[in-house]
Amino acid sequence: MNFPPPPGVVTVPIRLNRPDEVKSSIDNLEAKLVNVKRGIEELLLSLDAQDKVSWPAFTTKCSSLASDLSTLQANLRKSLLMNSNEDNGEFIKNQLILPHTISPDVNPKLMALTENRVPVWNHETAPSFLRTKLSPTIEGEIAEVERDLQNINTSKNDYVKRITFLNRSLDNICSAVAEQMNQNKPSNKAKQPMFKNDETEMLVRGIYGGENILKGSNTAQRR
Amino acid sequence: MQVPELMNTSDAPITRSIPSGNHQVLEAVLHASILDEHVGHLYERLRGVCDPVFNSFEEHEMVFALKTGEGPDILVHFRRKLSQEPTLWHCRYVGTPIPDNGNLFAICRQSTDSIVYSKDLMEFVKSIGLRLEYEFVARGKVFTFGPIKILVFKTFTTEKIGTYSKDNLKPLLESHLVEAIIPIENEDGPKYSKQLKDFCDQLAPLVHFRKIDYTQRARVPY
Repeated sequence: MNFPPPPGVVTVPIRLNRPDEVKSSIDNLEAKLVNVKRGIEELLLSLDAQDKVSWPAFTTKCSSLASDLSTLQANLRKSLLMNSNEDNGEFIKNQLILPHTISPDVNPKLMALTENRVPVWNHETAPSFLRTKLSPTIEGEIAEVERDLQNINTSKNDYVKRITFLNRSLDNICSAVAEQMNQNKPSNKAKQPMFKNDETEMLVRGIYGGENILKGSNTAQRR
Repeated sequence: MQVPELMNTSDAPITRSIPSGNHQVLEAVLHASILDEHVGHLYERLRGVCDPVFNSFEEHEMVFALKTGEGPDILVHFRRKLSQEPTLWHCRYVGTPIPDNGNLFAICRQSTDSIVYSKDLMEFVKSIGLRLEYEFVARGKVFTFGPIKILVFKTFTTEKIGTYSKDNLKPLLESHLVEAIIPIENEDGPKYSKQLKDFCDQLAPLVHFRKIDYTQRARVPY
């Protein structure tokens, strides 16, 4: 017996509490996600397109992506509603999503909705998209980061020890240099005279006035 | 006043800053001396402070006097490179220091330079009427620091007149003479002599530059 293909998304006619708000919040979410998706696409395209991507361009893309994600996060805290208070997402948390049909067949409507990325809504895709806990790999990474954070606080002693060690070596070097300098100084006990003032005068007078220089004799004797 | 141009090595070092138009220069000069054994230190110091190019020179200078009827004799200095044939002579007249009103940090005087090409200088000076007063040989180095010229040299006198080979040269005293000269522009003596003094003070305590009045000559009768 051929079952009709299950629909893409089913809106169950259950009386919803505040249906308009739910719809608007989901539209909001969709819009923000489109921005994020576009950002990621741009990033990947730029990497694929050229061999060498300019680093500043790359970082600007990453930063705009990060700002989109952070706006998304801020909006989630407000439950994606335009004019509500920050309820830490209580409102949308309280909305229930239940998987309606799980089938191993390829669902064309789902494919159309998701741009051919999710072909089936089966026992693998459904839990993966509906998960509420982080995937194990990510959980492991976060745990590691938190452990490093703890270590930093406790391992402050290492840094302090290193700093004192370096300070001590610097002091040793400084005292060695000062010692060397002092060693050389006492060799000229009294400051050695470098010049004699009288000689300056005599030399100048000699050059400009001919003092102390033997007077030249008759020019005829020259050469 | 022209900026001293790059040195033409065929000229004697002191001709470096001769301006082409005006041969007369007002210059500020300070003198110092340093004992022979410490000259090396001074050279190292100057090499560090001054411009990278410096030159050694060995020159023979003869000073002639033009006897005027009145007043002191006019002394004209003729210098040539000792290594070359004596055809190129640098001729210089050094004036008396201008009166100091207490605002000059160095001796300021007029100085006139010229170059003489002559195969036989003695004939030339004899025909002008100059008489040889004294002569000496100067051997040393010249440094520049911008417009400031610093000469460090030792004077030798010759025992036998006419021969200037190393054996006949007798050193005069035991020190090298250090001479620092700066040309003065716009007759602004105080400003340029201050520049010179500031530079010369950097060389303390190796040498101590002073204003030395060379005009008072106590002529020792021979």
